[in-house]
Amino acid sequence: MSYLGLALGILGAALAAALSGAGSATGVGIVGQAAAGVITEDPGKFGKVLILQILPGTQGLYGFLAAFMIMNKLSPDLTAAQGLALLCAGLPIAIAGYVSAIYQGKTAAAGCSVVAKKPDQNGKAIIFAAMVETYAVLALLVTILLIGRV
Amino acid sequence: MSRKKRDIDYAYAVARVRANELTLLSEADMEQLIEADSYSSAMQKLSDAGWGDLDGVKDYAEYLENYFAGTWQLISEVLTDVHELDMLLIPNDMQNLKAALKSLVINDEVKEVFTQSTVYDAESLISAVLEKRFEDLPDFMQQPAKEAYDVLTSTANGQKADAIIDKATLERMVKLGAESGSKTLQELAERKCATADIKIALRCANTHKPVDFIKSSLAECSTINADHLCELALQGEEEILDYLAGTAYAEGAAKYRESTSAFEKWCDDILMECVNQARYTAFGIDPVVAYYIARDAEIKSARIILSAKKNGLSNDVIRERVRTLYV
Repeated sequence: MSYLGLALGILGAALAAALSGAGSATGVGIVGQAAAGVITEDPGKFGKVLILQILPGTQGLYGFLAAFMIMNKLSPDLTAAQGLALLCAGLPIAIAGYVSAIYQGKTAAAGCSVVAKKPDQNGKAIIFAAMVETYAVLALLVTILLIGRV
Repeated sequence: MSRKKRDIDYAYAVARVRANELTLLSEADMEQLIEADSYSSAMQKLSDAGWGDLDGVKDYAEYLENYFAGTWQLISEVLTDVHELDMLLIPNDMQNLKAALKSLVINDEVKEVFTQSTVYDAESLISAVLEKRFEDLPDFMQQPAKEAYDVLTSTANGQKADAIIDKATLERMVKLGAESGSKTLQELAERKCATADIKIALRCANTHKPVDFIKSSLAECSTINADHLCELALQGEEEILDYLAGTAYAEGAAKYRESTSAFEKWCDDILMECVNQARYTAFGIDPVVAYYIARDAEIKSARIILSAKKNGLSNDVIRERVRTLYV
């Protein structure tokens, strides 16, 4: 009995979780550095910069959700074609999650400078960073729909 | 081997600098300072703006120096490698070199030394000069140090010795700017060198300096032809101004015709123009450089105001001299 289908399915789940998680870790790290800079000068802005730091973390959660859904489909009976389909289904959130988390991190880090200089404008800084989220959400939707078709 | 820093690696530094930009004086603050009815009232306004306690302050120079030391403290904290700003700091080392050479020749203690914000350790540099171990100085300092020392011992011409060191400083700044990898630092070095050359040429033309003095003073840079400027300095002030009118420094010529103080202000303002773009830069070293230049300009303006208040100059004269601000 060939386990190729199962192996491909596992690879799909692993990529979805790993790539989007790596992107989120990078993005959150970038914002964390900028946030630390703001807090060093004004600890009172912790709440405002924390929101910005959380934003690039969502891609990691999306990847985890996608991986979980793929895992629910895994069984030793999967054919190679089904396994390959699950692998492909995981790619949108894996790739878009990785890239968008890093860019969202950069945007949110730039937003920390907005909070540092004009704290009353932090809502706008959040909107700029949240715009990047759109593409991670679209990728997650595609991943979910594709998993449903397997 | 350390890897080259990416712009994003400055996220912490930029955020701290942005937070500190809030403490830069605005034009309205500067106007209030100009309108202060006395020297002590102006000092009080600076103290109220967070520039430090006035207790025990003997004069404004010391007060401003202490305030600027705080700026350097911040920058050395936010940059993991302060040598990135060597281009901005090297004039302090060269100032130490000048002070040590003078002290060596007149056999007196070394005065007005920069101990912080230098590229090289001030103590080692000064002791190398005082013990005439010129070979222990950094390579680029050795030749000008020996030359200046010879001039001081053989002719006692302090002005020429200073000119030799100043030329070496400018050339080193241009080199460090080019090697920094930052377009802002490169442009700053170029502008500093060009404006210094223009000032030297105009001064030499007015005082009818001999050709060898002018040549030993003018530094090479890419936007000003030092050899041509030297020839023009021998001819006269008008010839220099006519030449400048056809260069990137045409406005400087117009300002010089207006007044010397307008020209001096222009020399500093074009440095500020150079860093202004950094206000919209999210990452990289440029916002840090811009902050350093902004503080420098702010302190220069405060010095002009305080000095003018002490000497009873009118507010209009002060306004003409105050530098353009970053904020």
